[in-house]
Amino acid sequence: MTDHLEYLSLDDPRLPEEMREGALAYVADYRNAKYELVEPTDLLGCIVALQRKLLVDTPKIAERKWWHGQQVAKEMRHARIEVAIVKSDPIEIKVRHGNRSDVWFATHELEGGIVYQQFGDNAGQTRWTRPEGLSDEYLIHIFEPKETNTTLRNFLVQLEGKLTDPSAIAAQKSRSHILDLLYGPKDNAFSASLLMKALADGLRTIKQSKCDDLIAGVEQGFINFRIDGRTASNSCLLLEIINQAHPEYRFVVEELILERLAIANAQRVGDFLSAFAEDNRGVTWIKAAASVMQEKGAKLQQEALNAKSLGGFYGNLYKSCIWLWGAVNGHRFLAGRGRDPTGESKVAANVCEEWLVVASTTMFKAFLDSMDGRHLIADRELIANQRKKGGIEAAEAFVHELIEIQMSYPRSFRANLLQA
Amino acid sequence: MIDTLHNSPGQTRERMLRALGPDYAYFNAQRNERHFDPNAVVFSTLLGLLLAAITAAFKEVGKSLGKAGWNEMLSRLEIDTPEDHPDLRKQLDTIKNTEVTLAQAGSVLSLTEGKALIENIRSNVEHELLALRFPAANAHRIARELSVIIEEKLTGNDRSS
Repeated sequence: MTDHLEYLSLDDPRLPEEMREGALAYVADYRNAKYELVEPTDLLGCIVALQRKLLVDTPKIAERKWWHGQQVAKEMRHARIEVAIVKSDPIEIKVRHGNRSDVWFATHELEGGIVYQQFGDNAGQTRWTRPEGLSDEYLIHIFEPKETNTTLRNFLVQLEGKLTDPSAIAAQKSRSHILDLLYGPKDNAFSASLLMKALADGLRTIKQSKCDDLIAGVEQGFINFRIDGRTASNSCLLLEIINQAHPEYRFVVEELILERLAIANAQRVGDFLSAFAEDNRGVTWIKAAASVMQEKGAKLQQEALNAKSLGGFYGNLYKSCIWLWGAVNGHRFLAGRGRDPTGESKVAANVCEEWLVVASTTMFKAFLDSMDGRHLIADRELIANQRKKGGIEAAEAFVHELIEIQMSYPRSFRANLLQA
Repeated sequence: MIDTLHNSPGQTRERMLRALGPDYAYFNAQRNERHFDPNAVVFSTLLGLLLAAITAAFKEVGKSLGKAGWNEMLSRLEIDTPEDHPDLRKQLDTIKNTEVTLAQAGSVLSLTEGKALIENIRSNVEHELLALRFPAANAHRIARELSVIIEEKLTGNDRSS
């Protein structure tokens, strides 16, 4: 059932000025509320969710994304607003709103690149070149700030100050050192040193056995918030590549690789992969390792969707990110080096990236929900709207989207969501 | 009970999407720009791919058999090619129309002819998915699962009803 009201756009002359202003203020509040940091109902749950949000990639990236999201939310040119007059005396209006899909954002990154993004209500696009025919009127520029934001870190510290359980306080204290390093100016050097260590450990281990214990250790460090997702995923990728080399490890000239990397002052994972790729067998190993990681990441996501509890759901989804990150980096490295004549690596990299983005977005939603359930409440409203507009079939299709495509909830939530 | 897929086209749509699973990401993975597509767009692509496979199979296998009303069925399938971004209602109508056509085809085909048609559809779907760079095992599995749905519609042994 629809409400059959006549909705007017904000610039419709029939709309009285005070209603226009009222609708604008209401929508601005609604959009900004998504980024409000409030006292959580579940303190420990919120601390865990926030750390997952911070470490799923790197804390600096998480802060940049948070800041960017706030800028997009504040931008009212991006808002699509329609108003219906329900009653004129006393005045009662209904406001319908969402995102304008014809408006694009150009984010000027600190590194010099420009990313073009369009955020619709449940669809979006990212491009690295300006969309053809896009006029300036529909393009909003965002310039990344030079200083590292610490909004989320400050909030974490604030939450930690409210802990009373001594073991939780001690656990958080032991984790703060890693955040200090990752927020600091030497974060890249720190990450590179961990990659070098993983590589050295891996090359030493492979002489006796596979590197599975080392990989499990890195994964555990990521789960316990002792290593960021970017470093963890790249460490796992290097170790998986070495695993693929087994039993041909005797051909890997350990000292040569390590020496070469040290001389080149290797910082990024690409430097490490290049060292392997100098040998043709290395290319095969990188490809195999990326495929193994893709498979593990995809499997963890399915386990997440099948989880009976939210803990199992978020935990597996979080874990899937390091495997998919590693897969993206491995596939992307091959795609960008003329070693992908069929385009297979490019496709695999894009597929893994899509799954990764979905999972890491869910970490963001989980953090919001851990404060006050705001994302779940908003989704339930959307489901109810779909039901009003298109009946049970539309509600079911939307719930399918929330679970299977956006991976916002486990499958066990389906019936619960449909009751909205 | 709210959580029920009582409507056959709705259930068929859900089953098709489940067969595809997370591999929806392969649909636009060859592009340079990254898209995040809603369920309706994903399904539109899947439905378009399946309809193309069915239509091609009707042309390849069915025409030579000279069955009564075949050209009419083929014309109906060709009309039902979905637009790029159809809404849910249009998608369900398309499924319903296709189900009617498949049931009609099933009534005039022998068991062997029906099997040949289904195998042709399965092979067409697999071929299309491989062209989109789906991993071979996944393309094979998805094509097989979709062909099971087609077989049910063709034989009237429909688990969706």
